[in-house]
Amino acid sequence: MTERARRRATTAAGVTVAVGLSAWAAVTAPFTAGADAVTAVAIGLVTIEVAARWRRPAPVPDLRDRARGAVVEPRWWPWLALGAALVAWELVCFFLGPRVDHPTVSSLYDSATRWRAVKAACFLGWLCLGAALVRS
Amino acid sequence: MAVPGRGAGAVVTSAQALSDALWAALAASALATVAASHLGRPRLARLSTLVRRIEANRVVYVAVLVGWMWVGWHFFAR
Repeated sequence: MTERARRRATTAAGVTVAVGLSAWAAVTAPFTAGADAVTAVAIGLVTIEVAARWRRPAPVPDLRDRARGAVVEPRWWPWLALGAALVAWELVCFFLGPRVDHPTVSSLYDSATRWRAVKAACFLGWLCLGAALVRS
Repeated sequence: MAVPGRGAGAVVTSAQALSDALWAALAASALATVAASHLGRPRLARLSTLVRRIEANRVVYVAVLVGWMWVGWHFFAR
């Protein structure tokens, strides 16, 4: 099997597992063994992947390009600003209360996930974030 | 969105409207940031670039991974 074919097969397997786990998560209720199990499986898979890649040297920016001025480094601070704004507003809502006036992300999530499709989408989004953390 | 205490036909207060508007603005900003980072010759780093930057520092990388795990456990298990 060529490298390209192997990559495709791995991606297809990963997507299949992620969709399957999301469908499973959608039919679970919090504080049950099922919910614990599906979340633990996802966390376990990412942990195994991180452990397998741990010895690989950490990626570093290509300093030669930067020194030549050939590449303008894209700005990353807007991501930091967005994250800070999200955390700040979450904290304001958490401490200000009541939830009816200032819903936190958790309370918004609880009401949105009455629909199983939304819960599956949220779980899939969380898995995609996990995959992004180990695939870089 | 049906947050506990907000039944159908309930009066929406200014605090609720402000809170909802801010959440909507933050969500829209997140989507706009993702879109902007994928445009041609982006001046904004993509999420993958950000992850590589984080991964370069092992301590920060582990902290981010633990944060990801906590988010999953908090929302889906507990």
